[in-house]
Amino acid sequence: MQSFFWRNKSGFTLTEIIFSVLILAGTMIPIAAMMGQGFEGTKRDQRQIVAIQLCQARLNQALAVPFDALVSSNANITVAGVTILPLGDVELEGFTFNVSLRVAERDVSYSYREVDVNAPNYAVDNPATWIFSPEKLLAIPANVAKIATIVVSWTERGASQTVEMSTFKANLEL
Amino acid sequence: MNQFKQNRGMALIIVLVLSMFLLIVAISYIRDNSQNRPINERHFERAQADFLGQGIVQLAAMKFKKRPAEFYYAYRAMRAGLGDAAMRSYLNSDTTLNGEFIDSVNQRYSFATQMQLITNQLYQTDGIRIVVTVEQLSETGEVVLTRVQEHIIEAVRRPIQ
Repeated sequence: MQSFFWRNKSGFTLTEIIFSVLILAGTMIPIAAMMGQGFEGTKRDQRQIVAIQLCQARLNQALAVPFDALVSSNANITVAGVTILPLGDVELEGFTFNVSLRVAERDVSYSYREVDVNAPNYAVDNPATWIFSPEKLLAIPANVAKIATIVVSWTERGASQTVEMSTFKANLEL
Repeated sequence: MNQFKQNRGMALIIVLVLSMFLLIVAISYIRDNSQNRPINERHFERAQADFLGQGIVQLAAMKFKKRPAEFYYAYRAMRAGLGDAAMRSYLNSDTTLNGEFIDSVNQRYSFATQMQLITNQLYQTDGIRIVVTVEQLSETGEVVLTRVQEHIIEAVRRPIQ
């Protein structure tokens, strides 16, 4: 007994094949366009990930920069001839990113309550004798804290793209 | 009946099924790609919250460096059951250590700081644990993301002379 496939010796007709090829071509064109768009989107996302990672790495390095050396800059920050924060153009995965540092002073104020150590019954080891003052504010206007922002920028299809990440830096050497 | 006539149109069906399959592949590819962007944003927001926490830890450490006695008094008074008013002044009322930060893309982050005294009798050491909680807020004020930064300042205890 012949199998199903061998029984039909005539195959596809020319008309069927022409129609099939036309349908396949008709569907492949938009699919190819969609795939191309998706591929471009993937590359765009990949560049954004690279930019975020670069931003993180540079901000980590910025935290290690001495307080006084942390200033706004587009060029490398060096201390004693050693580059401790590389800035400027960076080429990664065939793309050029520009890294810069923006720094702004931040004033700081701290609230607290003092204990009156001159009070008659004051005893350092007996909290029941402590008299707390009303809330006070220690305001330090300048040179104690900064907001450091790393800006990574690149150009994508003629449009400028940026990623910015910020942190605080306190002058703990004071 | 003629077998040839029965199998007519098979090529069309095969091509249509194949086209459908390709369309599904393309759609799933596009969908995957469109989901990448929010993941990138979440990665960025998490990193931003972590850096913010690290910065606030530094500001808290500076406060302790500037006003250590006030912290010890407030902490001991609280532990002695005399109320936490001084401790709340030192920590909760402080607008430098508790507040909000808005980043370059207008994402809101709120931060709160806690400090705790850690004493080790065996090694005669003290430590101040600084814990900063950073929350990313949505436009409606809901918490989207919570990150915690912790840092311990160690100190050797010295007897009062």
